[in-house]
Amino acid sequence: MAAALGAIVLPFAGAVLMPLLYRLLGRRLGYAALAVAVATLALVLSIPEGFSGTVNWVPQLGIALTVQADGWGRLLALLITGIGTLVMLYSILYLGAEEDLGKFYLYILLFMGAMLGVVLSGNLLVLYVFWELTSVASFLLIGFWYTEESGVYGAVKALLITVSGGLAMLAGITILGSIAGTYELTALVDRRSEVLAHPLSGVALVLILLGAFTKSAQVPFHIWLPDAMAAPTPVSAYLHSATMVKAGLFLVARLWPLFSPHPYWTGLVSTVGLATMVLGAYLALQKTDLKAILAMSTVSQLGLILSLFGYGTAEGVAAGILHLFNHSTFKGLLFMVVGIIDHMTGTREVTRLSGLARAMPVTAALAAVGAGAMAGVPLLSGFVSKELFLEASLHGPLGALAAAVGTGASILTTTYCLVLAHKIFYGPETHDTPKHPHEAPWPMLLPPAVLAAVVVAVGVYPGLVEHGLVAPAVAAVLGEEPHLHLALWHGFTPALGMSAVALVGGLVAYRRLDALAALLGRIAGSIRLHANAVYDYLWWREKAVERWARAITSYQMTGFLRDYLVFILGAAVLGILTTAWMKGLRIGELNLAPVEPHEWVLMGVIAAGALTTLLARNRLVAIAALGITGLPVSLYFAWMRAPDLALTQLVVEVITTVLFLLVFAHLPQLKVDPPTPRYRDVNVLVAVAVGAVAALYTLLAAGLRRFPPEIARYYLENSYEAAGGKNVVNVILVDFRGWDTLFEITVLSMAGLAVYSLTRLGRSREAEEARGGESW
Amino acid sequence: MELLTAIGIGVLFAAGTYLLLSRNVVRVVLGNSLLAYGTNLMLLASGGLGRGAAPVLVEGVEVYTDPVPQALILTAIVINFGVTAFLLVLAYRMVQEHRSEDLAHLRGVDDE
Repeated sequence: MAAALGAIVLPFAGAVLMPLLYRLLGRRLGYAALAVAVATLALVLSIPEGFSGTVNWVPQLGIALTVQADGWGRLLALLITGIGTLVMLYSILYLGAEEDLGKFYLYILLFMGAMLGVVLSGNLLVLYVFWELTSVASFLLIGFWYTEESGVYGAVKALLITVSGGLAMLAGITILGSIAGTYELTALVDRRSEVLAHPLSGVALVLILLGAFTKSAQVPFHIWLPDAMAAPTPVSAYLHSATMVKAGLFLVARLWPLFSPHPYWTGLVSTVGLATMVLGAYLALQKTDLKAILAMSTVSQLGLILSLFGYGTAEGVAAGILHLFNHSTFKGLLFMVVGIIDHMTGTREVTRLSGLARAMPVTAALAAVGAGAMAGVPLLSGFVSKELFLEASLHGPLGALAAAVGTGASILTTTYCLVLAHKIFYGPETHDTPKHPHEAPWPMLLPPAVLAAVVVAVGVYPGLVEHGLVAPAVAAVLGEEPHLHLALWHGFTPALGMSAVALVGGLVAYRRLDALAALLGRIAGSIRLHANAVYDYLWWREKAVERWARAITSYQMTGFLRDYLVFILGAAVLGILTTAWMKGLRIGELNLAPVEPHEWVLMGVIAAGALTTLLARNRLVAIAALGITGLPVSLYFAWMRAPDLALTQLVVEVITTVLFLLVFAHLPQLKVDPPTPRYRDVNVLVAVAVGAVAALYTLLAAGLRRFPPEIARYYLENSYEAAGGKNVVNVILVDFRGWDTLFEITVLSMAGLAVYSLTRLGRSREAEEARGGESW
Repeated sequence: MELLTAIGIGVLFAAGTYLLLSRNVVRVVLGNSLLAYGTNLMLLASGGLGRGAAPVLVEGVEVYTDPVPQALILTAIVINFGVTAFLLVLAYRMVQEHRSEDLAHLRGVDDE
């Protein structure tokens, strides 16, 4: 447990220390961050395989800090810390001394801890918390150069899209939790049949997938990833290609054992994945900024992996996991290469770069390895997983269609890989770049070289990762031992043919790149609806969401007492009526004895008094009418066997009338501003509705008799013995509930003090003003 | 009688609510008082009307009305008196400060 918890806690602890260490170490801070990353990597390696443990956190809510370090979690944790280590090393040279390094390493270690929390958590709610933390870290890192508009735009866009998806996911998780009664992943899988049979399981699935799709930049939420490229390149390599964008895929695979038999599963996951794969590859070919090409190719590759998880077959899962691992390595490598090019030449524009291989031979070789792996060239890691992808697509539920789409997208992939590996490095040398290109220093080349070594090693001998990493991960997702046979040569299979088509087709297309670009441009010109335009309309340029929010707020928050009351009373009326209706409340047995004439008179006077108060245009009439309403109320109390109430009401009535008269002496005549007709209609409607509900409520209550008779009996029986009083109401007030009465007296005295000070305040101020003092 | 009481309570609530929605601060205070009458009657009615003798112990009487709602109402009457007094003084201060009893003026909306 210590190793697993330590691996999550250590980066957070390191993150907090970074700004402090920055003062001590200055620009050497990167080495401290590197040390933290290496130590975390060591901790991850020391977690026993298949480890799981639980620390109770909020047992009342069923939230436990469950660590689930099965093969799948460990694989991701290894990628996070391994590539994290390389990225730290790379960033030491990449970031200049003028940057605020304290902040940078604080954010990036924060991300590392949060991401480890996501992949090691065995409880969905805890996973969600870490999940949102990664979004926050990503936001901070994209906006690291916050003086640039692109940084702010990209950061806000990424945050809004991923957090909106995250909120949908939280709703889905909560539904799932209430279906199954647990948030623990293993327990959820145990109750799979129960969950799948529930009518809400589809809703939960869709909501959770929304979270995964936004995080992993699937169509139509892919638009945030290209704008996230405003971040420093180490961040793009780390968060936005190797790890964070894999969180959605990670979650989809985590839920695979639970949801893969669901009827929506393949339709949602694979379809979205394939669409994203094609669209990403198509968009990558339209970009000329190297980082934008890589961003779109990441979108495309994420779609590829997602489609594999959607097939619901063991073959698909195995291919997806292997390709996820491969993608993290070769895409991390490519981003580092692009960072080097950017650093050494001062530009990332494809059109301005050419013939760099002469000046930067090592970089060119590294780019060839990375791009070759992505295209699926034999003897590089991508070839193995791409074969598996084509094979699994062909055998999957979508069959030849998926395989054809996959092959088509792969042709485009090969084409832009050639742009990355060939176009900018070969051909005539350019002197158009802002800086004169030369090879990067070896510490900067080391991290991509390590990744390239992994890519080549896995490509030549796939067994290297098969038993230690991939097989346990596949087993963790499937829940059974997989039948993997990773090899370079499977014989002349359909997949080999499709691979060949993809490579050769890509090569042909690259030869005719200009024609292809023109064709794609024409397609782009014919598309009218852009996801980016929708986003800009809602949140950026037109800020429609903000305007709508403001319109709603200013509609209800008017500052008029009347409006608030209308909302509150209207809601109360509707609430009481719906509750009464839904609970099936009926008016109980009523005492329908003939009404005596004096009772008619009493109620008649009360109603007449109330209406006169309402209609009075003269304040003396109004106050008299109020008194006329109050007196029959006290008579009514007397009639209803409540002598104390009658007396109190009478006294209070008299004092209130005097008070009104006193104050009225200082007030202008009652001026009733006639409300506008619309206002008056609404007011009348609300008033009548409140009156009707009050009457209904009285009848319901009278029928129910909810005052428990035991309470009354207790007071009646004990009043004399315990308190020595025969007037039970008085005894309740001064004895049984004496404390309440004491507080009541306190309230009254406070009201009295307030009345006194308010009247005095006015006078002293007037006096002060008369003395020419400053008014306040 | 219960039906009649309910109707009376309904009228009190309706009139009180309508006054509460007014722009004139004094009418708001008046509306509050009417609502208080209605509420007190409602409490009494919910305890059951006129079953048994007044809750003052007398030898030989077995059935009394429920004293609990009465104790509650007594408290309510007194508290409402405090509230009315406070509201009235607030209204008085408002008129002194703003030379108006129109609540809309408190918000800075002028007729001019």
